[in-house]
Amino acid sequence: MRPADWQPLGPVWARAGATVESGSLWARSGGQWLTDPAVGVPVGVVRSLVELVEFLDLHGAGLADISSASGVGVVAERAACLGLPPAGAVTAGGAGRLLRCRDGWVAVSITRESDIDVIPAWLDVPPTGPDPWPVVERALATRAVAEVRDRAALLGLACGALGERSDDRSPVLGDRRGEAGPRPVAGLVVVNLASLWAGPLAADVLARSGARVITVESTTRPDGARATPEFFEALHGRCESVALPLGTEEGRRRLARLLERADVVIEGSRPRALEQMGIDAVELVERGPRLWVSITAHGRAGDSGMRVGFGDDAAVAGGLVGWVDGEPRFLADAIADPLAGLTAAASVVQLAASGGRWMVDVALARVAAAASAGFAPPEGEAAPPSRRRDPGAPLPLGRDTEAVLADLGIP
Amino acid sequence: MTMQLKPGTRLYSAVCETELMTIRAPADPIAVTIGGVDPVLDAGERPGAGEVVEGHGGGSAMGKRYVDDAGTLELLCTKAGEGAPAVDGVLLGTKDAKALPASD
Repeated sequence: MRPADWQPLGPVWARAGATVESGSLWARSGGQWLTDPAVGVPVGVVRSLVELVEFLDLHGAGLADISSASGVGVVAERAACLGLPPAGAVTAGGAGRLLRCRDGWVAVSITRESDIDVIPAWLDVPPTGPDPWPVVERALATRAVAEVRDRAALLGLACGALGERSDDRSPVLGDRRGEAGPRPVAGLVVVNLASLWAGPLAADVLARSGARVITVESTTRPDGARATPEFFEALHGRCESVALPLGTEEGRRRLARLLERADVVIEGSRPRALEQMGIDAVELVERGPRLWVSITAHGRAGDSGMRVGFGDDAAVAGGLVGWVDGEPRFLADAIADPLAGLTAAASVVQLAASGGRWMVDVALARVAAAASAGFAPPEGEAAPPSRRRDPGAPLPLGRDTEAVLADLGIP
Repeated sequence: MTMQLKPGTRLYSAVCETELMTIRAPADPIAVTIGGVDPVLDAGERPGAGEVVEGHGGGSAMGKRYVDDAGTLELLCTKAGEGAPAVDGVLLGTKDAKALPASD
């Protein structure tokens, strides 16, 4: 098998020179409400969102109809569902912080108890108890950014160094693995393995454009976003749900067969996680699905592929932060997530239409870097985040497992 | 040979590629091996010769956490290799995968 040959995929949705009313859109979207008022309007973010929404809506997604500010309101829809407060040096979601090291800044997300368990190994400190932040903040102040980040990466902690990927401005990389004729999105079978926000958003957009979306979860490790039903339902109302026991041989066999039958696979795992389940994405894409879309924090390749990251810390790695009195601030809520989700959906639309079999690498940090373009003064009253006009629907775990497997002829 | 581990201590196999990082450690020194052979504490001290001892193969897997029955020791595999980790000659088990986060 030939080695990967990743090429930047020029985003066909970019419209250089087009005028975007970024100030008013940002104010109406909920994005401004979610951001420190002193930061201003992140013009590159608004431009990217407008370009993506317009491109996707041309292909039937209808985002401008369901979301505020002509679709830019997608950026604040999780915050609306979860009732999140504005971000600052702490994320809107509350799990991440911007912290000062000896020689720069890092963003760290601590999302689960098992993250707290590894803090002694990360920073050479005693066990911290349930609120690790005072200890972490004190320890980081004397450490170097590179050391802190590299050790976090080894331990599977989400930690991005501010601006480490700022120059990496290709949001999407593609590796063409074979030939396939052009296809419209309508009728494509999309299997989504990704959880949380970016991957499910991409899948939902494709469902709105006429694709059949099958969301696959582990029976023992379902999507954590199920804990926030309003948000989960908004993104999954048009999917079928398959649940498989991925810890067993039988479950993995069925997953492999399901992936073979897909036209498009969307996943958000580190490459080794799928390899350890016996899934070889490159081998599959040469004979099964025409598009394999990986949405990761820092990309699939090399050591970056081992890193964990979320929408806020990955945005910081891409340099996408606001500045107040020389200190960085998070922008809105997990800003790299909605940007990456829409980017992934647009990549599918683009590559299905142009043909070919592709591995597609969408990295949150690169997407964020590509959307960094300075700030303009705020315009107008900041509207609070608003939910979609279409609330979605409940999707009980595994509701469609037997029906989907029978329909696709998988025993 | 016994060694005192503490959170953050890194262990490099003397006979394979395996690298481990200590997440949790007992208060007292323990006899830990990788591939049946004492590991080294510095990647630069690897002897570059030697073989995995019979019964200590089966390998280590990247990202897996290896634990003892008492729950006092937890070692995270940061690089996979052919040798398996053990304490007092008994192979360590692996911990279940972490639950997925609910949000960020």
